[in-house]
Amino acid sequence: MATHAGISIVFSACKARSPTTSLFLLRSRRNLIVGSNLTTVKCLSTYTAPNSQQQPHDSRVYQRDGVGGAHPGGPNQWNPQNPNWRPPMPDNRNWSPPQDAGGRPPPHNQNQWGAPQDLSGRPFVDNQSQRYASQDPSGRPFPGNPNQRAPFQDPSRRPLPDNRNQWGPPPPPPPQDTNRRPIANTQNQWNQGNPSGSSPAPPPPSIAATAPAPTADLLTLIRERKVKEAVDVLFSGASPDLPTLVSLLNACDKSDFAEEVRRIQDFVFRSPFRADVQINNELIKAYSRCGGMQNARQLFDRMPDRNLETWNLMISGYAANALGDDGLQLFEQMRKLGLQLNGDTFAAVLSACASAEAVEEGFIYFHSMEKECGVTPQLEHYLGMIDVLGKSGHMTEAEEFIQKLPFEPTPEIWESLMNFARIHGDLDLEVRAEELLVSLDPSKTVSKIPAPPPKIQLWINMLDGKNKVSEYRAPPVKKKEPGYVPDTRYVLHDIDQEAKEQALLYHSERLAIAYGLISTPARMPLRIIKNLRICGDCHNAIKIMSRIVGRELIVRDNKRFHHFKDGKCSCNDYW
Amino acid sequence: MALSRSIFNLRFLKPSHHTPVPLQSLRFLSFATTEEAAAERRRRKRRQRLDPPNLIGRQPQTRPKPSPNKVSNPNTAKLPDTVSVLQGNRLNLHNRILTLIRENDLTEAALLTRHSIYSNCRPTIFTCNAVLAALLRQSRYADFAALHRFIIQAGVVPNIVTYNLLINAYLDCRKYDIALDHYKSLINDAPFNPSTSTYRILVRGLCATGDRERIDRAISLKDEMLSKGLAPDPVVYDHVISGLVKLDDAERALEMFSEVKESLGTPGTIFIPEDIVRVYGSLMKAYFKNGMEKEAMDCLGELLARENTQNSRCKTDAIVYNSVLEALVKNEKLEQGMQLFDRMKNIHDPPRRLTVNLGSFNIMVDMYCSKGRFPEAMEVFRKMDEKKCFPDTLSYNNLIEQLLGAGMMGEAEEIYAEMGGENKAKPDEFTYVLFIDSCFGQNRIDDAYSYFMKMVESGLRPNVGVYNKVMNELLKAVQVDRAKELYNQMLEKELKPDCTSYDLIFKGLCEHGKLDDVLDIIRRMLKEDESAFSEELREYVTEALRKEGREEDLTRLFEEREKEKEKEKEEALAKDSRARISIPSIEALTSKFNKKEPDVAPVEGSSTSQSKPAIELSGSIETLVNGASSSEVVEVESASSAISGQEGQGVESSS
Repeated sequence: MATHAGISIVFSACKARSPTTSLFLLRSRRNLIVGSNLTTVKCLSTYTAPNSQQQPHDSRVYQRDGVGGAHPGGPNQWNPQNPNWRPPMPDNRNWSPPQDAGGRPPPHNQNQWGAPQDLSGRPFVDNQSQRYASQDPSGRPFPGNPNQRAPFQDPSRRPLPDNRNQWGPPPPPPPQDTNRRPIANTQNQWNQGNPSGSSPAPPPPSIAATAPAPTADLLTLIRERKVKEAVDVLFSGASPDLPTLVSLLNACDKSDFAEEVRRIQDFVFRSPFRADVQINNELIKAYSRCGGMQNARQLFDRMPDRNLETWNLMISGYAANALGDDGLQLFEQMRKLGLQLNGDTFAAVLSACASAEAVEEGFIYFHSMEKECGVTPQLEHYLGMIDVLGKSGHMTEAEEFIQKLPFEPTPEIWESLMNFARIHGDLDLEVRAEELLVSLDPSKTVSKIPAPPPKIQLWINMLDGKNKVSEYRAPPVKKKEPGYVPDTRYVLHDIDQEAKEQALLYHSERLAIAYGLISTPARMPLRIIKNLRICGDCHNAIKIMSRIVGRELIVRDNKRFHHFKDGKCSCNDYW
Repeated sequence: MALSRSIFNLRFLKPSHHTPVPLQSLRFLSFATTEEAAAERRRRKRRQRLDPPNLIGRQPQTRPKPSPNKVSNPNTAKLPDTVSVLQGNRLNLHNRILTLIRENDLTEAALLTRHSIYSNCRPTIFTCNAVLAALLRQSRYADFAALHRFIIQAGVVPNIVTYNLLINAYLDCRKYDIALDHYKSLINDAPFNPSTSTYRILVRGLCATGDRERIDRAISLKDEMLSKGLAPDPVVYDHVISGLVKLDDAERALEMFSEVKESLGTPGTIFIPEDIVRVYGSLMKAYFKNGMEKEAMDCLGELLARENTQNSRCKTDAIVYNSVLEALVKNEKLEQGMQLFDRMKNIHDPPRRLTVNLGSFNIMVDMYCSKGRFPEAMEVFRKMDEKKCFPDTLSYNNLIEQLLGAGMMGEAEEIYAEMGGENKAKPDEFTYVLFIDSCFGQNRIDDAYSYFMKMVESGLRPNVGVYNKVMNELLKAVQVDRAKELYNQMLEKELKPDCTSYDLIFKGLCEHGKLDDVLDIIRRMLKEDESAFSEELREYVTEALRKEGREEDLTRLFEEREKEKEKEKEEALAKDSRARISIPSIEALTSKFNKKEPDVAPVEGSSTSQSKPAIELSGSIETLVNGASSSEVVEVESASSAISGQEGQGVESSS
């Protein structure tokens, strides 16, 4: 493109001269989209990671030892300690040896484990609840013992040589042996759901300190809100328990984390919790927080078992994502299925009505609540109705609704009315709601500028027909508005008039200004630098523009600086 | 579980994605339940629409793509922003503009809204509505209309609040047909349904006219409201009934009453049967009109009895009381009226309960004045502050008018002196006209003139009629110089004198022998508006000139004008031809542009409106910006390289 002739507009976004001025620098016209960084390519490893880890056996591995288990190197390290243990194979029998080593292979327990997951969700869930029941008394999930395995799971992440050495020597030295014992115990404990077998034995502090395991890792990452890293840890073989996963999902509260939630869902689907209603509900919640309602719906449709909360979450998720219509459709299905609706359902439905701006339906549902479903409206439902009215801009109706409340309006109600009045710019209503709010809750006082008095209060004046001012007031002077008429003499091509006008539109300084306008705050001056002479038509157009957009436009061409301001140019039209 | 699954298989059989079922297939032609009907009404409105550009700023929701066979019409109504877009920078802008509104700097608020359109933070419709509402509240209708036009042109999608404000503004200006046109466009084009407030505003505006045709239209609007599934609103009925009372049609008014009484309290609406008290004011007027005094007083009794039962969900407010109070005092029930007024004042407990407002005081002041009890009227008027009510200009004008009508100039001036203070209503054109009239009536020419000058200096814009009236009186009082001054001032203010003004000024000047001034005015007339110089005027002036023997002056004037015209024509021709060969002076364009600079007195009295003129968006600039931002970069090249030719080599060096 060396032959490339053309104007270069120099158009940069550095604030070189004054902090309030932005300068746009545009190297060549090809770069007109300056500044818009290419969106970072998302890591596609999401899908490969779980597959590679899944390895030969099924998700029982996760349950079994609470670890991703199938790590290269991991099994080997076990060998010295437990000679009975063999590398895991897709065979059920593989798991008996460690249980034997524990000395207590209860038959029913084996059945539990042996049952293929897909056969039925029920016993599986039961099993889980057992597990959790046993875990709860210990306060923290995975109280330390699984932590000791951290180095094997992810040696690359946490290379702790001394720790390795611990495990290293083939004949287990006495101290390590004592460490190892509890592992087996606790493991069996969990498997059997029998906490009384041996004491949960908190891990020796020395080891816990030197070897923080993925779950602990996860918790810290979650606490630090490093969701991406936490999900990576998840796929590097951690096997968190349900509360950890839930807190991880709770940490996904921004739209940026939509992808992470998807990955967590992948993880959950491969984990034993896949049929658990609670975790699925949490996933739906996380999706709706991240704006991934379509994924949530997919999940919802595939859920083997739904409870009322699932439905409620879906409806409120739709509402939160401005898809209230879909939420209302879902609610209709719910009613057709004859589900028993509760107060939360109606709160969700009202928020769906609010987001769909469905005032009429809002009232219908609100009234059917008590009559058909026997749910007495609570404060949240009244607030929900105010939301429905407020979001739809029906402020008078909202005020009317509050007047008719069967109880004295609470501060929350006035506050919500005040906020909606603020949004819709209803100054009088805002002032009134604020007064009422402060009279109920003086702590809410904010020093605001008092509202200016209205000039003529036609609505409450009661002086019909006495407003004669229009008979004596002159109409406002109609100013001729500045208008742009293309001046095609500057287009030297031999093309028809329309094409000439079209050509003028694409002069580079105009494009530069247009880009500058849409990418900077209001009233910020723009600096445009161009190495060619500005054309007369652009000069006029920019003059008019500067007036309309209310900014100073500083255009340098190869002759001089033009400061366009308020419809005038500093060059006094010495073009 | 199994149950739910089977349903989903029916509806969401599509394996991978949740695609909302086409609306029609879910619904049958007749609706089994009310909510289905309501949903269908809403969806019918929303079906033809485009989605707002960014839903809550999140990742684009992969909404179902519009099917290819659906004609995508760029003119389909867009959906207005939802409340959730008001966040981040746009919320900051909103708050900033709200502060400006509270500071009553509406010109700046409107200007900032306009300027923000051309920035990386476009104002939401809520911000625009806030500014519009504030402008309406200060009755700055011209600015209101200008801003509304601007935001619509700039592609900000109006919502129901915008429509309500717009309709309200036009009704306040008594432009009923335009208001109804906007209502029609709301019904036909907007992707949402009108609200109860829309009908309240419309019906109130139309019924206030007292015009039979308009009130009939209001009644048909009321029926339209019901057919749109909105609940029968007692406030709307109240307006309709009082409109019918104005037409002396008490029969129909009572019909309306029984209609609303039957329909109130339908489940699924805000209104409850107790709301019937809302129509009692107009109902009482109807009873009085029909000579049914007993029934009217029964209404009052019922209202007061209802007040005594504490558990009533519907608390009677100032609006209901005012209406009842008005019915009483206008029908010679002064005793009961005063009792009611005292009671209203007693139970007034702001902010919990508002039972008196400006309207109540206006009714009482009006009543006292009409009975000639002016001291009491002034006392009530001045006690308004105690109840935190503040009179607006209309109330002031009303009292001043009544006082002046009774010849109580001193008291009127006292009241006038109370105006214009901090946070108080300012006098308007009508206030001054009242004083000017009564000063001339009492032959206090100088006072009248000084009132006039005060009015002009405070930035008000009296119309030509006021000028004529003052000039006439001045000429009568042989103050020709002042009259001529006024005439010149009128021209300065870009007011176009009408026949009466010319008539007045010519006669005045001729009678006082100021023929040179007359000729000056004629010269200017010929230049600006030749047709205004009618035959009659010409005859009159010729006659006057003949008396002085200066007839030929006028003929000379006409000859001069003819010559000038020819000259102008030649110049125009020459200019045209010059323009073709050379690049025309941009000066011409700029001077034209500069001439449009605002030396114009603002519409409003406030000093703030003086600062900056409203700017209208020119459509071509809009396309320019749009076209530019979306255009291909390559096209820039081809277009601009033509001009630059070889110059383009310096691209890199300039950076």
